[in-house]
Amino acid sequence: MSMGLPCEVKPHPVTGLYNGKFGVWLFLASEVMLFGALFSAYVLLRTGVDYWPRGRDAGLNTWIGMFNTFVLIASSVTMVMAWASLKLNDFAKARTQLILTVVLASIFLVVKLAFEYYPKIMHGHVPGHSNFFAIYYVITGLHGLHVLAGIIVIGYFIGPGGALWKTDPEHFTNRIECTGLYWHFVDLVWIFLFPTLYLL
Amino acid sequence: MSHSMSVEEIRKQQKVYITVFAALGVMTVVTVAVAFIPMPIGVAVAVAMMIALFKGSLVAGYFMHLISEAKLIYATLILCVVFFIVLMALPSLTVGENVTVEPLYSITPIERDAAGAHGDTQAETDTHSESDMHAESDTQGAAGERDEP
Repeated sequence: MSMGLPCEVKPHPVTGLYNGKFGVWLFLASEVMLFGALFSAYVLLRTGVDYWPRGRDAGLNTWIGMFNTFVLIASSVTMVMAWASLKLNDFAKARTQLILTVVLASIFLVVKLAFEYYPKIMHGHVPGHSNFFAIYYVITGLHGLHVLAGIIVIGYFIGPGGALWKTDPEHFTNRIECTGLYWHFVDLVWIFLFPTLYLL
Repeated sequence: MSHSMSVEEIRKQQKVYITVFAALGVMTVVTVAVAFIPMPIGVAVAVAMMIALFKGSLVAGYFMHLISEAKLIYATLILCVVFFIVLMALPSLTVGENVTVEPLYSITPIERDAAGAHGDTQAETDTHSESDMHAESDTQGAAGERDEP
């Protein structure tokens, strides 16, 4: 039984949601504005010049980007399956699925750093090289930081945070749902980022 | 999402998640395939964004459970979408004004200065395609005029 704040588990009578879920959605709305501002900057930069290279012409690898898209989508699936497993009272399965989520997210980051950023930097394609790479590094870098933050949070729930399951399983399930909302948003941003930077 | 979902409903949801995953995979392949079809950039942008919007709505609707969410969430998101549209439309306010963006460099200013210091007559070029590229940023400067449409 939760001894914390009211409406951490049961829905609030006015909003119809438990506090964490409403809070996360508000946070995601602010994140939409954050990435929206960067996309807006991209539009301004791109439409302000006569020539803007296609992603693959500028040196971005379409296939690596596509692979990373599959990886991130798969991590979104494992994340929501973990929540479903908790709803079915299967903590062990949920924990495995959370671990899989972290593994897939880590693969995304390793591929991004080792096979995209590193070769580009070695080739001299740093943010100061051109407007294209400036906006590329800022948007994908910020997205990468969000992925890293997600890994840390999910890692916490795999580790010490998992203790809440024993005392208040419903509360723990809600926390995983909230984490899942954040994670799906990170995936959603990449779904728009990939075609914008790599394909157009 | 309801707190009191039955076991059967949850298992049904799990099958939905797998189906959505398959659909997202297929649409990702379609996105890449379409990018290789020659078409005007405006059409390419529209097609790519429509596919991304479809994929995004699958993620939001099924993974984020938006399809069965409380009205308050919809209200929050609609407000967010309105501001997002305003944000994306903001660059269009600069059309017609004398607002310029520093043109894409064929070489960086550092490379240009280095070439000048060594008395090099030919500047080093990067991997960008040279067609339709305007590389007079050093003569125009940051306040240079944009080309007339």
